[in-house]
Amino acid sequence: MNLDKTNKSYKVALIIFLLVLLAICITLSICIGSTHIPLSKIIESIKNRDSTGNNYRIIRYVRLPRTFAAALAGCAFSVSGAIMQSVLNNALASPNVIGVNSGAGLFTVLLVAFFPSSLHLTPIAAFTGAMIAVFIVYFIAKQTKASRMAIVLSGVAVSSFIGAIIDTVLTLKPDVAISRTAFLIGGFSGVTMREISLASILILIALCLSFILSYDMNILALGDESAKSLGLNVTSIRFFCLVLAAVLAGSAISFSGLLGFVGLIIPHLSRSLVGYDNRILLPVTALFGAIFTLMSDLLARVLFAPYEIPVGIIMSFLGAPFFIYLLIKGKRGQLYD
Amino acid sequence: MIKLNNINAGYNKVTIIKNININFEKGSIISIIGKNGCGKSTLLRTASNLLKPFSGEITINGTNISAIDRRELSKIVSFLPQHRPVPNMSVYNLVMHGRYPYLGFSRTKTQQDKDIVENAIRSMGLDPYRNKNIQELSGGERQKAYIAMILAQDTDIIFLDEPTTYLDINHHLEILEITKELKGLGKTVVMVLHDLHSALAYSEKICLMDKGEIVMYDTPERVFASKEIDRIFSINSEMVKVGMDEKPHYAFYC
Repeated sequence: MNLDKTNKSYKVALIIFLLVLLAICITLSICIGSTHIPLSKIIESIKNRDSTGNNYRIIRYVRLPRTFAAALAGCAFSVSGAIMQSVLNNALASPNVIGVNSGAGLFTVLLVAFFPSSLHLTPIAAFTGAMIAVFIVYFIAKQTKASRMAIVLSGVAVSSFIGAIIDTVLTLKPDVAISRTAFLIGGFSGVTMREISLASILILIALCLSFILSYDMNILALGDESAKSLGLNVTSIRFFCLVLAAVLAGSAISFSGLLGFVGLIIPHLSRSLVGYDNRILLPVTALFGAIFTLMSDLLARVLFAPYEIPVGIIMSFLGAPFFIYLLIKGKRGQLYD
Repeated sequence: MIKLNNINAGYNKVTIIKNININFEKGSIISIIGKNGCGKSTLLRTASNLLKPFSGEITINGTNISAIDRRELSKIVSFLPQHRPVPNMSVYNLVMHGRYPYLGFSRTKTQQDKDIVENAIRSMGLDPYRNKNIQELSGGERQKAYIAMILAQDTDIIFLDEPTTYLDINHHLEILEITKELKGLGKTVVMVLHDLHSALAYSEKICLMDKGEIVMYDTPERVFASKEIDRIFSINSEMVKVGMDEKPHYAFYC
């Protein structure tokens, strides 16, 4: 299939297609679960607003928060990955590879373990952890002149170090208020609107800002010296973009746990569809991320129904082969060559 | 035009170039030559404000360069680095990036931006490649695409860091001819060149450097006659006149 990725009508058609797909996924996500609720019943119960009805309560307190959380987390992780890949010029960069996920995870676990009365501050804690990880990556990128290998290797090192601390905390305080497996693998089971309200505001603001900065991210692809001589403030733009990536990943982690490959594979899939122009890549990545996560979550619910497996497992099953495909294809970790 | 006064600069507190005093005159081609590691690229980076000097000042038409806003400066000075990533984008988009300093907050391109980009693409003979990906182009075509971007940036001063290195001889000569055309448009072209003959044959002025300092800044004829090139590179040289118009040709040998 040889599509002209620069063609405007192709882009518009793709966006419309993804929006329709997203709408279908959202509907399915609300309908399907351990109790199947047909669409007609959903419309009926929303119309009646019958707060005592079973269907209404399932939709209001289980399905809607879960659907919203999955879509939002999918958007956030994917766009976060796309931003990191662009500004670090590294095909292997994504929140989980370069240690941002584990940084956010650590702070979330610390908050839950030692300040259980401040659970509503989870997004802030996750964001702080993500930021610290980003600071480390940024520092390493600067020291090594953004050497691809150094960033990925240090991400692996930072992740395993932080992972060890998380494991220690969870082992020493096994009665913390989060489920260990659910958090480390990632999932949306039992998520509430209250948990995601602050995170969703942060994610939406960060998404808007990243769309605004998408053209500047394109200029970064020319290399630091060319970008500077075109008048772009390279250091601050790169740093600000990484902060946005940290806000996105950190906020999502606060309610979804450490979701794996979505931040790595979705930007690559989107790039294969629309090319490298961040102005179209970021919105497509956001939509694709939401769709992929909703579908994975659906699979997690229905594959072994009535039992449910954490969505992170499904994502890794789908993501790992893609990662290997990426390596075999010989991308050598570089995005712009 | 652009003047460097008592400049000392380098990286990580290590001084690479010292006591640099030079004035790049408007509408001329100036080549910087010297041995590897003598500070040619550092001089170029410092003059284009990519590298902050340790001491000294740089002025453009009398205004201190650090007093000029980043955006405004990029409308006056452009720089083509030798090493850069090869972005995954079309020639048209690359050239359009040359208009970045002129775009407003919404980054919307005006008809004028589009016209300038069209002209730049046409004048570099890149029309057949406009929708091609930069990564699919040969080294020579790629270099022309970058120069088209610089052209779209429409600055009075153009710094080129080794624009002909690794190119085939036809593209090498083509790029040098392009610098002449840029000069014809009233631009000041300052470039680092490795090929001594090209530097002497195409420039109005030669800046000869050694160990971080400017040894000589004069016309090619005078620099060549001084035998300083021979001394610095430890080589011998000869000038022969070739062709009907008896063009000077510079030969270097051990």
